[in-house]
Amino acid sequence: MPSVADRPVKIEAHNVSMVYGEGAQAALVLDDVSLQVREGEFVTVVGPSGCGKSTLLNLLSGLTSPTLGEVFLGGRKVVGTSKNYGYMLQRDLLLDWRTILRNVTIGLEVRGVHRREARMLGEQYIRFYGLSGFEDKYPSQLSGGMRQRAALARTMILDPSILLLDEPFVALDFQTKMLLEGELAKSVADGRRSVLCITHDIEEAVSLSDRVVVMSKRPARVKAVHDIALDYDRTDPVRAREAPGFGEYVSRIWNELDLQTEPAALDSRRRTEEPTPARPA
Amino acid sequence: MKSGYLEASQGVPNGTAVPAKRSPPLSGEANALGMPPHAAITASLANSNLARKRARAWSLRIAGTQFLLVATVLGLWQYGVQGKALNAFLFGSPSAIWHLLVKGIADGSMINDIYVTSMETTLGFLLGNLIGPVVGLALWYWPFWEKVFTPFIMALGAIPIIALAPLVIIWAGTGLASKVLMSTLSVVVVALLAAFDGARNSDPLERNLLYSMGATKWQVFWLVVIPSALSYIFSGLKLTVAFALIGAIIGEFVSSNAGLGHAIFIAGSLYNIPEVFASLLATVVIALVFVSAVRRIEWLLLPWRRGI
Repeated sequence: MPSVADRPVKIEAHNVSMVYGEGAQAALVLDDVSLQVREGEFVTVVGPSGCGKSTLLNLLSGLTSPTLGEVFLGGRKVVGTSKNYGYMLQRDLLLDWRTILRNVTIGLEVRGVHRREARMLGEQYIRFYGLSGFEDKYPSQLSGGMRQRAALARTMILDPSILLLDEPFVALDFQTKMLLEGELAKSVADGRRSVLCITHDIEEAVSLSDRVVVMSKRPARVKAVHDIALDYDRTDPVRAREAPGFGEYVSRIWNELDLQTEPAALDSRRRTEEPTPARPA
Repeated sequence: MKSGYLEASQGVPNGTAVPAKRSPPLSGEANALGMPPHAAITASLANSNLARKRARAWSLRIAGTQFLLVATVLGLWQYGVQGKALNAFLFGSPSAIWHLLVKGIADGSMINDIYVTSMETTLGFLLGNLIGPVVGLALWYWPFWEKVFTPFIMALGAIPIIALAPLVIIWAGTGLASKVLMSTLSVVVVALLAAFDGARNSDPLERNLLYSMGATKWQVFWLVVIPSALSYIFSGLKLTVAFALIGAIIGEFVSSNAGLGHAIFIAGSLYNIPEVFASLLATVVIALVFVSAVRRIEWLLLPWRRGI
């Protein structure tokens, strides 16, 4: 797709370095990281646990600001809290005091959409994401998978052109994860959205992305970038995992991650979410 | 609201993924038990009936034990006084207290005291729990003023309320106003701190989520911060019921012509121990009624916490 290179850059980190703490405690977390996501691209960042992937996302959302360098969202430099992007984390962030319907429509409420209109749209999204019958339940009455589904509905109802995702499915069981990955892929299939997704799940990264950025361990640098050129239906994450070439990408990226495990022990790759691989003090 | 509920309940039989997924395990379970499905359902219903019966038996046992405890203490007390083992002048007796309660209610004197104290407590409680949370939430919204006011709030919170009583009586008179003010002062700092803590403990990620949707600070305040603070505010309400009552009673102790505190004070200085106990009992009843009212209001206003 040669046209992608001409499309506008929607998400950008430009020579970003990040230092946490001061004086003797100061720790370099991000070291001169640059990346770009153009319109319609799905880019995933993988890296060992604790390498600073989430810091990158916090910078983009304006939760923290970089020590050096600049970040841009939708072409605008991020100063203070960023606005108008879709945001999904490992935690679903459903508000306990709102019913599922009112959680899904909260973004519409923020934007001043008329209540009745918001309700109608909300019911449509709830149906689309398979939550019919749960409109008037409170989040505490739903399972983890359903809650994350509601979070996805809440995100997509605003039709965001930019999506920032931080391990959105990590807390879910395998089947639910596959289902939701498929639904996410469907939601972005129209190619209008730019997605930056943080994950430690290499299979998830390869099956969803146009490009996978591999980060080194702390201080995190961009270690490698892979364009995923696989021919398969992204909306079916189980099939995608069986596509020819999928395994090669996974093992190549796996080998690039700075993990303590033997590279041959491919079976243990799901264990990467374990607390930080020990590193010499 | 109502139409949504109807649509929701219609959605289920129309066959979304959820009920379809739910039914097979149930029949599977039934087969595993070697029973037709309806038998398994009957069995599980019987099970839940059993559980309910057990729960009821459990709470009956607790209530029964509580009753026994109170009866034993009262019985021993009465017996001790009648057998001269206890000095009736110093300890009173349940029968004398009962007598005074009946008499106080019949001639209206105790009813009046209860009315006066309840009024003072209610007004002080409402005023303190209105001013406190409003100021506490406002301090979250304007961090500059939070920094400015913190030392003064801490100072006010550190003063034992009773030390303020003389000033309050001098400034607000010996009537209702001074008791309400005492009650308010006992409540307001606790309520303020509870609300402020609640606001500060609202989830920064939830706030950020709203900013990501384009919300203003004011919207984040209304949609996330205040609702998160509500459960803290309600904890504060439950806590301050007692404080409001204490403030009112202290006010009555210092200077008054009516109220349960007044009655306790007078009876105490006359060594009328049964009268002290009778008024004390009335005070406890007021406190319990207040606490259960607050619980009821919480149940009505915070439906998402009902299961907890």
